[in-house]
Amino acid sequence: MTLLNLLTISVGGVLAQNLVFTHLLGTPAFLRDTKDIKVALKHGIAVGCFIPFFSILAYIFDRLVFTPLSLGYMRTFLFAILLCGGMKICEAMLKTRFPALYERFGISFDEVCFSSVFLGAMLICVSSGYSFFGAFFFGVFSGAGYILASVVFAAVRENLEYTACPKWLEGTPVLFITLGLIALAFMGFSGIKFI
Amino acid sequence: MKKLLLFLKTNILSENVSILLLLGVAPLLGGTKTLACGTVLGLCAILVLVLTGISVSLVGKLLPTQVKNLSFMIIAAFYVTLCEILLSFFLPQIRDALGMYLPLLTVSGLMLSRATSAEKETVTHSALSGLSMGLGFFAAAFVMSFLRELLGAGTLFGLRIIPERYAMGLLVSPFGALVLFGLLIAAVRYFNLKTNKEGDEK
Repeated sequence: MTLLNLLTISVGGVLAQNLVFTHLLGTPAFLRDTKDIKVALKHGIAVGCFIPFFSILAYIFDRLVFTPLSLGYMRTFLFAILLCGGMKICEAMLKTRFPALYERFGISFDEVCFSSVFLGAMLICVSSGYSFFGAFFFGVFSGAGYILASVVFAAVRENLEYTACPKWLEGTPVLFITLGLIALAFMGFSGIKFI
Repeated sequence: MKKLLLFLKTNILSENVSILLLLGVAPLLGGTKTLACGTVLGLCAILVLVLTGISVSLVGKLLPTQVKNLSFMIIAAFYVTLCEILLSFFLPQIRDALGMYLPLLTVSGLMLSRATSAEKETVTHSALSGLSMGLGFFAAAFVMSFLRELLGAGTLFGLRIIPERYAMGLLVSPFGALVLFGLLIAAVRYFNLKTNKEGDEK
């Protein structure tokens, strides 16, 4: 993959192909975690740091195991197993090597696993046919995009409290409409390509 | 007959899993671009929910506690993959149009919540619960895909109904999905409030 391709994947991961605003992944957990900017940053980093791990895992297994053995038809099932296994490995590694960090993350890994972000990122990575470095850059920058999305939405949400909202839209409906408006803004980034 | 209507009303309006509890939102937002996709997604969700519920109520007690949630996910993934394979065989265009949103049913909150409750239920009870949750998801998917295709693309099942220049292309985009979903939540909540008020006044 050329450097320009990698640049397109990177910028795309953050802006044009943002996991939350373009691919609409992980919305309920996203809404739950973005009540406060600091909390949003913490949860965003917790999720965003693991996306590269999973996208590389998906690439390696798909390229080395699934494709040679023609197991493409079972991809969802195998990726789900990978996801569970990967999550357990991450949790075990964090608990044993970096216990202080594990305490600070303060999240239940089982719960985080059930966000559509990880499986979605794995599927996008594989179906777009990226190379190893493509998958790595995709993972890293999609994670960065998720962190950006968390912080942006938390900041907007803080202002939402002071707006006069119609009574029938209060609560979740207005949050989804706000998400939609930010997604509209992110749509403006689509089509950024480096050639 | 009245019981059936009440069953339908409860699961589609008063306790709609997708709209009020926000379960299974990612497939709902992404896989409802056309009416065909939305209907098929809803039907797949019903099938997978029922089968997952039945499986978990049968083997739930044998699963080790530390990996219980993950085992539920793997059971759900098995049935979703089964659905995917069936769809690839019978309706390959819809399978391609749904893209990655059909597999996302696996990790949606729908399956986790279904499996967690199915562990303690009997087989028939969990099958019925799966059917009711699936109905809620199906209704949400149907309404969203109906509105998105009719107003966003002007077609229904591929047949043109509204001329192309009057169609709002934005509704088919992620923006349309999110805004429409928000309005749908507001509408269902409003309807529930009104019916509850009338029930209280009676």
